[in-house]
Amino acid sequence: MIKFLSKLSLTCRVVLFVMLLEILLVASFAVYNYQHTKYELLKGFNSSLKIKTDDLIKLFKYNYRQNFIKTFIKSDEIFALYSSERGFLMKSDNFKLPDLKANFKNANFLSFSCNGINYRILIKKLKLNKNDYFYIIYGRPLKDVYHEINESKWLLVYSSLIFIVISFIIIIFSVKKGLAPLYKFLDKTKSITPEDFNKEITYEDCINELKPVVESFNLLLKKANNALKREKEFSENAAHELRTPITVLKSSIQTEILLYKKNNEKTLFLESLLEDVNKLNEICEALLDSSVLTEIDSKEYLSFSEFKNEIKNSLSLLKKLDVAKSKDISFMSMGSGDNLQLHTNIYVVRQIVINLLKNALKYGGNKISLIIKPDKNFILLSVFDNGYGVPENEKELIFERFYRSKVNFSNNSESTGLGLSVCKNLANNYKGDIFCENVKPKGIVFTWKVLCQNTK
Amino acid sequence: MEDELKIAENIKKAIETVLSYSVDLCNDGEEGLYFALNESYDTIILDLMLPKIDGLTLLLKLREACVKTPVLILTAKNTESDVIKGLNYGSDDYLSKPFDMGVLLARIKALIRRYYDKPNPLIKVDDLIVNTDTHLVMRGNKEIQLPNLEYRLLEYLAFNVDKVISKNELLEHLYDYNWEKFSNVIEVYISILRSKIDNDFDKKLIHTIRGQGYILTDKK
Repeated sequence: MIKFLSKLSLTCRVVLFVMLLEILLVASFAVYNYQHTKYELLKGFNSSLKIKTDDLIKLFKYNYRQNFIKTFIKSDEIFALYSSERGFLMKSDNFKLPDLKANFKNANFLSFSCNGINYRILIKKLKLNKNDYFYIIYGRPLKDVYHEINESKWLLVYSSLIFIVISFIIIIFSVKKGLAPLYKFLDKTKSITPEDFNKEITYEDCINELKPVVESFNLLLKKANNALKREKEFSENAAHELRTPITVLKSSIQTEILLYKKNNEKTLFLESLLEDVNKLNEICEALLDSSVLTEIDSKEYLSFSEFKNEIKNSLSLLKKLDVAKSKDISFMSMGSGDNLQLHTNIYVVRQIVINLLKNALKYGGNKISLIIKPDKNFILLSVFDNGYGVPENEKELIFERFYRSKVNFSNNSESTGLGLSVCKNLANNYKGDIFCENVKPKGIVFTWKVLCQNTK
Repeated sequence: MEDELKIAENIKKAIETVLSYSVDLCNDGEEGLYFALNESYDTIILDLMLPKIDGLTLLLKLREACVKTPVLILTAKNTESDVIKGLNYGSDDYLSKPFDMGVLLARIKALIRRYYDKPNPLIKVDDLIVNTDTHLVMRGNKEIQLPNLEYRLLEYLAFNVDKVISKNELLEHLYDYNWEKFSNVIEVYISILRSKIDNDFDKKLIHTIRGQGYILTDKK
């Protein structure tokens, strides 16, 4: 029940709540009204019974004759005159009563059934002399009043239903109208991207109740914008502060190499220094990349063809490397993705594909395959190689910063240990993931899951 | 224009050694702007994060003043938006730090060739061939050995073939800011060049235009 409710929109929940309340109220009102009407109808019935009984008593006192009295009794009514000494003195033809002796002492309403008809009778006592009492017994069939009660009941039911239906329509309209300012505000918030953090949400005819919410939201946007700015400034400063001394080192060493071209010993020494500086630079770049939490490019989606093209571009770039020339590298796309929008951007695709391919070139065997295939809400990009693979207990660890597997790669000091961590970070930022599995007979596959949606 | 002294010195040393070009150094944007507006250069290497006037503002001011000297931006900022910004402000090329010195030198040469509309590194004037890449000079089948300054003088004339170049312009091009501008070194080097380029050949290519300057041309 709670799960069902949680899936409903705000409008539906409000309408449901109001409708339930209304049905409760209408039902209570209808029941009350029915009982009240029933009571009044019965009371009215009883009053008219009493009045007629009193009239009959007067009539009896005035004219005792049965025929005369009988003219005042209708065919469906029952009448009897009973003497405590002499018994029934007169009665109507349809008067067939069970033993009423026990009730003759008091005038009260009795309901009973006779020949399938429910009657209500009133017994009134008249004293003739010391020991002789007359009992005027008069009754009417209850079906009339019950018929009326039934009619009123159905009238109440139908009118309640109509009321509920009409009010349902009015409630939906009113709730929508009432929640419109909130939805307007929500629509404005939906369109906000990190590039809009420096803007405020303003809209005319904002209702008073929402003004504090809008103000708080704008304050939040301002804080988020400041935080983003600080993060960007920090990244830029860190980038500058890290890259400048590396540039000094690199330019100094390269200039010396140029000056001492002919001196092999010195040049060799300088070149080995340069290698370490380049490695240091790689680590810095990877660290800077992995610390970027917000997207570089504001475009959040790529078409399937853009995705494929960027992979092909990265592939052709890496194929030019010397280490790639001796490898058999293939690329295949399975299934159609023409209607798909992938949740990623060009920069991310380039970074991840190049990182994965570089690893495959470094640690894989002589055969590397890239395969793209759709899988429900994802596109899977798999990079297979027939190298050594990774020990089972390291499959998660290799995605951690600075972790380098030494089991199969004794000379792994060339690696920064940051490439896969950067890839995983980038994939996760776009609600995707990267993982690896060893393949048989030999090798490993790295799979990047890219979230996608159908544009149809 | 680079505020980091060591980087600036290394670049200057590399350019002077490998490319044999003269280099003026500035450590802040104000000084750099003054130099760029008042001297003529074949290329400007500009760091974006300069004190006093930042690189992009300086670049904007240069282009507003119609200074067409090619500019190569050198900076630690290397996001795509920064690259696009730098190019949109009027730079001709972009290299992010830390850069490879060889790449920097190659890009400087390419910029200069483009600036003088000489995409081909081989400049031919009649039977004279000047290879701006290897600094090899040939006339006919004869290889002509030229030391640094003589080659640079010839190269500048070759970049501006059929154009009269004044002595001052040659001085500015060949020497850095600190050189004394009133010497007759240009006349001396022109004379030496003529002896190597023209003396053994019937057709003379280096001509003096009185009161104006010098011209390298195969036309009469």
